[in-house]
Amino acid sequence: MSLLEVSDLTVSFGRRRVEAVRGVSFRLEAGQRLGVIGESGSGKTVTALAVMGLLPENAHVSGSVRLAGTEIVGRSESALAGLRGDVMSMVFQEPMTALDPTMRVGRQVAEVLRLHQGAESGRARDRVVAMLGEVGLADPERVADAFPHQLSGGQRQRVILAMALINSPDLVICDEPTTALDVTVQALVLEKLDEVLTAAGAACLFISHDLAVVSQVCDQVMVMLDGEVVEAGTVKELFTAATHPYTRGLVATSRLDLAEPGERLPTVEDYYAGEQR
Amino acid sequence: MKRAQLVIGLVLVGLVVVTAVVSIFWTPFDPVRVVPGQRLLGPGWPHLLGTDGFGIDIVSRLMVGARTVLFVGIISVGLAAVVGVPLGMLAGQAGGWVDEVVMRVADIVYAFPALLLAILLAAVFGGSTLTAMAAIGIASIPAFARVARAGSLQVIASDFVLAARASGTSRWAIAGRHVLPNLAPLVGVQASVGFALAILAEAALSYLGLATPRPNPTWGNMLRDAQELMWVAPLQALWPGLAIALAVLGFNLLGDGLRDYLDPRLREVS
Amino acid sequence: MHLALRIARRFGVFLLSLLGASLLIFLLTNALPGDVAQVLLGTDATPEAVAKLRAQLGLDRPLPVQYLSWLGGILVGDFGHSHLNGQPVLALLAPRIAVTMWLVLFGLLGSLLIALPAGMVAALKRRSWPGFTISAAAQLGMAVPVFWGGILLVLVFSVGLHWLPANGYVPLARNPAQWAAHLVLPSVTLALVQAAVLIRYVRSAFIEVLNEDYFRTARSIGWTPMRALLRHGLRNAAISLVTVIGLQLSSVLVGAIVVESVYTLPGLGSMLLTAVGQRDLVVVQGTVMFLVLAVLLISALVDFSYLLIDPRQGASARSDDGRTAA
Repeated sequence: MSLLEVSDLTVSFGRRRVEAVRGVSFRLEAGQRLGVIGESGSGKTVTALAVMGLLPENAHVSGSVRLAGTEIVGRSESALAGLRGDVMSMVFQEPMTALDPTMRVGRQVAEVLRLHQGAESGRARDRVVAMLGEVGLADPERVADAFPHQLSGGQRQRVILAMALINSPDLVICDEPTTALDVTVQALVLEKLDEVLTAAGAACLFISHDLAVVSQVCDQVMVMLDGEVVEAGTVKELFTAATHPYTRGLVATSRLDLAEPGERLPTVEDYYAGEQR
Repeated sequence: MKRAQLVIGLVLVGLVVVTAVVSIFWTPFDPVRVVPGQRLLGPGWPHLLGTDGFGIDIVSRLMVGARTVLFVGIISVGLAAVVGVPLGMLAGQAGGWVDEVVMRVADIVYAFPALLLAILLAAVFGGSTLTAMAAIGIASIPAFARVARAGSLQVIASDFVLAARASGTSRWAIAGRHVLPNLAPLVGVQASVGFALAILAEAALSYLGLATPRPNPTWGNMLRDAQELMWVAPLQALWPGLAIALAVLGFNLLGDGLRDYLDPRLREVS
Repeated sequence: MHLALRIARRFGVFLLSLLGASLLIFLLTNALPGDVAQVLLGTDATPEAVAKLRAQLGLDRPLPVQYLSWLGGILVGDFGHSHLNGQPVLALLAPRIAVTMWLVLFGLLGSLLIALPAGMVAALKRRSWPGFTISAAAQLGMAVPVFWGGILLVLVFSVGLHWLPANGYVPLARNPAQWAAHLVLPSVTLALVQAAVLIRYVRSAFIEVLNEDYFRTARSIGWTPMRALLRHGLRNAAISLVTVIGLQLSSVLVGAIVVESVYTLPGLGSMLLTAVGQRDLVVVQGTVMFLVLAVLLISALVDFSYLLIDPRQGASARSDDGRTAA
């Protein structure tokens, strides 16, 4: 039994049933990392939200999502709430807005502990500070007492990482976790993410539009286009033997170091024109 | 759903307007003449909703009441728009200290409840339809000024105004040609909502005896009479209140419907 | 902006509003075509008698001087004396303040007690029937004039069921049970009508929270939507709601004046209306000024509390040096 088994997942929205994800299937073993790559609107975030059971009310879901054998699709809100933050957790794209602006950061991390472990406040504080240190924050005591607006983007993203990891979940979903950060901070956060995921032995579904970023963290990759999976395999296979033209375009644009000086840089459109383009 | 709002609003407002217009030419009975032998009749024929404590037909009084409500609404909302919109446009266009002064004064007036203003006017001049209209109108000016200011700031920042300005059109020509027409829908929405507030305020004032005095019927002073008869004829207190509520509901729905119709982005929030 | 500066600025706005409102009240009450002395003595009084009374009342002084002395009096708690019985206005107000205060307090608390949960549910279930029902009920409630609401409640609970008194007031000190019984219907009337208006604001404040990223974060760590809203939404929504409640306050006070009249409660509102009926201008002037002062003062206090709820307001000066690169 795999940790996560998604089969024939289809998600549509609203009364007109606009399909955002069509017949997506994949599996993820314990401790494994799968990168999901695609441009915005390709359905990768919707897939992630479906796994978390966090889709908005007007979404219609069919197919199956099994986490450690239990079905997620159609489960009650309270049953799902028990899993979220404990067995599975999520790191979101926007560190600037993903934290409650009116609450000290340490309390927000401690909340994850209390929700699932019922830890009393004294011990929770120690765990929180330790966790903030683990994700690479230099002064965890001070950070714990800060409000979000007093922290930088990189610091906030690490706080969110700490929230996602403090209960040692089996599955961590990262939705473009570094896209909103500066390039230098991005590399540091990715490195740390790699480190803590390894230490925790957690599986990871890593969503990004950037093949270079995905290849830093993941061994397996899945390419999504217009709500469907068009290609899947190891990072190496993708770089050397991509079959879908869209994937070949992605590979070419991520290997700008191969371009000759003075030459026009490659774009995805050189390889794949798409239907609505 | 949202279209239904607009339709219901239009129907209710239309009903008030038609009733008011008809009442000018015809009411089933005399709306003011006391008929001693016919006091407190229950609903039936020919008095559909019965008669009040003076033996006057309630339907007739309600119809004339609609006229008062429309009259007070039109005058007070009109006054507020005619004063408020130019002030708001001026504040938006001129900016700087003019803006600051106009909006500060608007804030002060806004903080001053319409009812207290009406009470002051009634204390000095004696309560009448006129003092009620003046108080409601003055108290509604800030709302119009704010809408006009926000709207004109938005229009001034838009591309077509920048283009007009670049081609040398004067500021005041822009105000007349571009800003004012674009404000019209916003002012329309505000007028509808303001009308609802004016109806409520007028009703409260005539209930308190600070606006149109008897024997002229208004929905508010009918309720004042009805309250005294509450223990013997409870139904009397139903009809005028219902008339007020339906009229206010109509103007509110119309305003909301218009707003949604004009700005679909607001649908979710408001 | 620095916190102290913000408070100073808000205080300045308060003083300016107070000045503006007092000027408005003074000018209106002194715009009488004849004057108070003439009104008091009647049309057949001799010019000498009128002139004597004018001098006695200080009405022969220039308007700006009269205004300044009136304003100066208010600053030291002298709201003038009644023309009719010579009593100080403040002494007339004093026993009635409590009645209006209870009514405003219970009305405001009651409306919050209704509007907060109802508005939250309306936001959370905005696409299903509980949301539609609440929004529709609020829309209907907004159309009900407060005095009609009061009359209807009296019809049901006093005339029909004989459960509660239809009018009158008993002070708290004399008989607490009777005091409560007489305040139930007036407070409920005020609360219901105010709640209808408030629900819309609460609903849109919470819908804003529902669309925030931190709400999604809260759900991703295991809160159910309702509990996420309570835990992380309440305080954030409160920031925008505090301003609204400040504005509501003046409409609650106005509502209380009307409600007092429905239930013949001996509060500030009924006193004001009596004074209007008797043309006792100084009492009207003083009472209105007192009410406006209360509204302005409380809305200033509400704005200060806003600074306390939102940590970004008070701490903005600190954040610049507290911010370090990751």
